[in-house]
Amino acid sequence: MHLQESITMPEESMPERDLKSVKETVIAGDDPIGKALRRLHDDVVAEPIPEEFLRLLGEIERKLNGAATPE
Amino acid sequence: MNEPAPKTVPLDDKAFRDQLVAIIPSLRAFARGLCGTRDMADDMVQDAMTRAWAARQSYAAGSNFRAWMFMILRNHYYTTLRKNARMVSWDPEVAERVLVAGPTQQDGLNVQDVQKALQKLPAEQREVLLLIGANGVSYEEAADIMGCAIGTIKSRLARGRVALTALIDGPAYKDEPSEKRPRPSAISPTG
Repeated sequence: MHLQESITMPEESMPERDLKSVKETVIAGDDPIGKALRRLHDDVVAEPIPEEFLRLLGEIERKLNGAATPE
Repeated sequence: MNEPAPKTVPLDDKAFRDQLVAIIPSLRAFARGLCGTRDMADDMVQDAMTRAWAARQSYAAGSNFRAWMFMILRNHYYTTLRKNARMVSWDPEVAERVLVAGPTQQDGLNVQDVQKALQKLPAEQREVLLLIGANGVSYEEAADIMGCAIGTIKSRLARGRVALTALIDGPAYKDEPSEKRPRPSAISPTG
């Protein structure tokens, strides 16, 4: 695929910043699929955190404040 | 990979809890994309958080917390997939094209269509599209999370994108950059 051909540098040794600059359709700003995936992500991230998560964190909080749990 | 692990210094519990809180939105987004439904995804995230809390001593302070959490979540997802045959994705070759509502009022694809199409992909392709395309993690981090080589990540991403595009636009669609291309009719004869 053209994807592989466009990559000439050894990615493993590249810093994260450069990896992101690799020409890549899904990450490219104007790719419709990439845009939709980001919107999917952003929509969920924008939701308020549901109550059951706060309950779960409350349990963790209680363990923090109470006796140390055996590990 | 094989370097002798120096003594792992865990985070203190309070700091660990704070990291856990901060990562909830990203985890929920990743899980939503993997599972396709809100309830299942949120259950999955809570399970992952409970597991992470129980395993917090094995997290080394200063290492990549997001990668560590995502790995726990996706491992839990795959375990659940294997246990529950109903959740197993079917082959995109035989999957019928998803119904497309057409472009939204703005530009681009309908998010719900993309969500539906994602569910028809093989899980590995869905996962890599979400990690890199949606969550914006690097190839390197995705390779760490999924436990495979960067080359594998790239080929899954490329194949996943082609399959997703075919599911949304119909099998005849060729990879063209134009967003203005005429859309095929809603019903494709090739199904």
